[in-house]
Amino acid sequence: MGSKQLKQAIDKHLFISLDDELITQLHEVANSMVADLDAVSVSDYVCSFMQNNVSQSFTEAFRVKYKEMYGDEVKLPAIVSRILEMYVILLALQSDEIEEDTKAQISLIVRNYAVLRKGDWNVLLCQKWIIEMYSYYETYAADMVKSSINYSQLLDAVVPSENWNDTGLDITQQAVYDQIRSLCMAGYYGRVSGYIKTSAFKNLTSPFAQVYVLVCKMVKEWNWKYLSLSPVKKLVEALGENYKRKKMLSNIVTEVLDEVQKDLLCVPNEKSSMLLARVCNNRPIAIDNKMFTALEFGVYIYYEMLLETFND
Amino acid sequence: MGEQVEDIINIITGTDSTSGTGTNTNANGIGQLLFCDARSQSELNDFIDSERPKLVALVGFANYGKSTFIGTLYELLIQNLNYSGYSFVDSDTYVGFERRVFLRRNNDEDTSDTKRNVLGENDILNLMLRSNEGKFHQVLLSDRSGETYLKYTSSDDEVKDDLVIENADLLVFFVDAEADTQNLAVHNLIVEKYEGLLTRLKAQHKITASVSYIMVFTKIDKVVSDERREKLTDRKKKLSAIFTENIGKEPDQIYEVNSTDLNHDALNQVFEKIISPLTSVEAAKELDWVRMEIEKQK
Repeated sequence: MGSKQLKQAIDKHLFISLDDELITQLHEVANSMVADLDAVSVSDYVCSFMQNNVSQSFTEAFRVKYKEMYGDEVKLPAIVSRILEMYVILLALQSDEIEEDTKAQISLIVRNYAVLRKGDWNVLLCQKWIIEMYSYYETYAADMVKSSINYSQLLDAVVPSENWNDTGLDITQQAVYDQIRSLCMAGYYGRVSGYIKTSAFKNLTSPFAQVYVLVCKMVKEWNWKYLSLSPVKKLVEALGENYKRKKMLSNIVTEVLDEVQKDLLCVPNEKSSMLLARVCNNRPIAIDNKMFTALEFGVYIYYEMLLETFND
Repeated sequence: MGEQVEDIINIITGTDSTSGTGTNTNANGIGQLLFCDARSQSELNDFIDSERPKLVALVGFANYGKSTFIGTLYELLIQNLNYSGYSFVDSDTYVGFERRVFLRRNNDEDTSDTKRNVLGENDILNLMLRSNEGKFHQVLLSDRSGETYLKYTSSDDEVKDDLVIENADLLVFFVDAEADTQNLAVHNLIVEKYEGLLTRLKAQHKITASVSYIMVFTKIDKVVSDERREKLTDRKKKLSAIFTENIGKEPDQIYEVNSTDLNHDALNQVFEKIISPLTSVEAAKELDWVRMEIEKQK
């Protein structure tokens, strides 16, 4: 039963279907590998997958596990190994045993590596799985801001009143805390709006440098992640019409490095934060020729920085 | 010395001329010695790397010109010709191709009509191609002996084990135009064989709804007189009606080719059709999650 989604994915890409018993075995082996997954192995598998390769460490780990469980060697077409590479990750995300934090981190890793396929999605295998993997971060973020009373209801009750009794609100202490928290979050939102009016921000001439600096502040100084809001609206507000400006990655890096102060350049995880690493290390990478708008660059960088906060 | 040369020829052609009939290379083990020979349908999965290649099945009965056709395609590709923006890069089945070139040359010289693909011989050939933009694309060609398809006309068991037709992206049906435009009896025999073949393929659900197919009338250089040209027009109509009825749709195109003329326009159009990549299914737009997030927020 559990192997049905695996069978469907494999059958779609082979001329000759694999034996059902073998598919069940492959599922069992993949399932047993879930417990051993960590951020490093996930990065390795996703990176290979997005480049149409199979991770050597995955192939070896799978071979060893299969032999351990079934006492035999298994020879699989390369495409099946690639499917299995992602299947292990999918099983981890679907598992009740894996913590939500870890799932969010895995989801961000998958999102960040997807930049390797930007503009060239057709050859990507297991597209439904990838889209499902993206969604785990959204679920995690949405869970962070659960509140029993909505923000505008609180505003309308508190602002016209002079004391608590006047508000007519009958809410628990936890709900009061939730509301205070949501008001503080609105403060974060205001900080961003305030910053983009400052000369420090306005004096940056490149929109790519502007988004880099703004995103750094949003993630590192202002804990924007707790708002669980997409950065898109704020980036558009900050950049005006310049959000559409489009450049090749290598040129974007030059512009960013020309204007951004060194203390904003970090030492990211080179593998899962490719654009950040490209900026901070200034070493050419395979996707240097890909084009990004200032807004796209900002969104990618934002989620890479977010993933970095999990690593901190 | 002479015997050694003959042995080498036998290995290349996959035949044993001393027996007078084509000997199955796999049955006698000779074929297994050859590196880069054609592969069997059971090895189709081995050709899949990062994506499933395009599979083209060349279907026709003995002497309809399939191997000559393949030999010409290979010869043109290794001369660096470009089809649909793709040029030849490599093959895992060079020997299989070379053997067909050899057969084609022999046929050209009219030295032998026994040196051709034989029943049970491996049939899968691959072409690795690269586009002008550097993208790779692989085409698999199934070139079976005509006898294989003749067996299909009379035995469900033979058809049942077929993996090529049911997986094919493009079916290329060959008809010997020279034979087809002879007397009516010969034409009727061609019709009868194809009806038998198509009926069994249909009954065994080997022809999928998504498959494309074309018809290729070969040896067109032998159909010269007005009388034979007229016959061909009429017989093409009759045959294509049978294909349409059995496959459930009309052929994408009907070509008339001379496979021994490397500059033949129609021949090059068929090659173009075979080489061109499949129209790729559009990727789910949700994959570009950044674009989706931007669209949603704006």
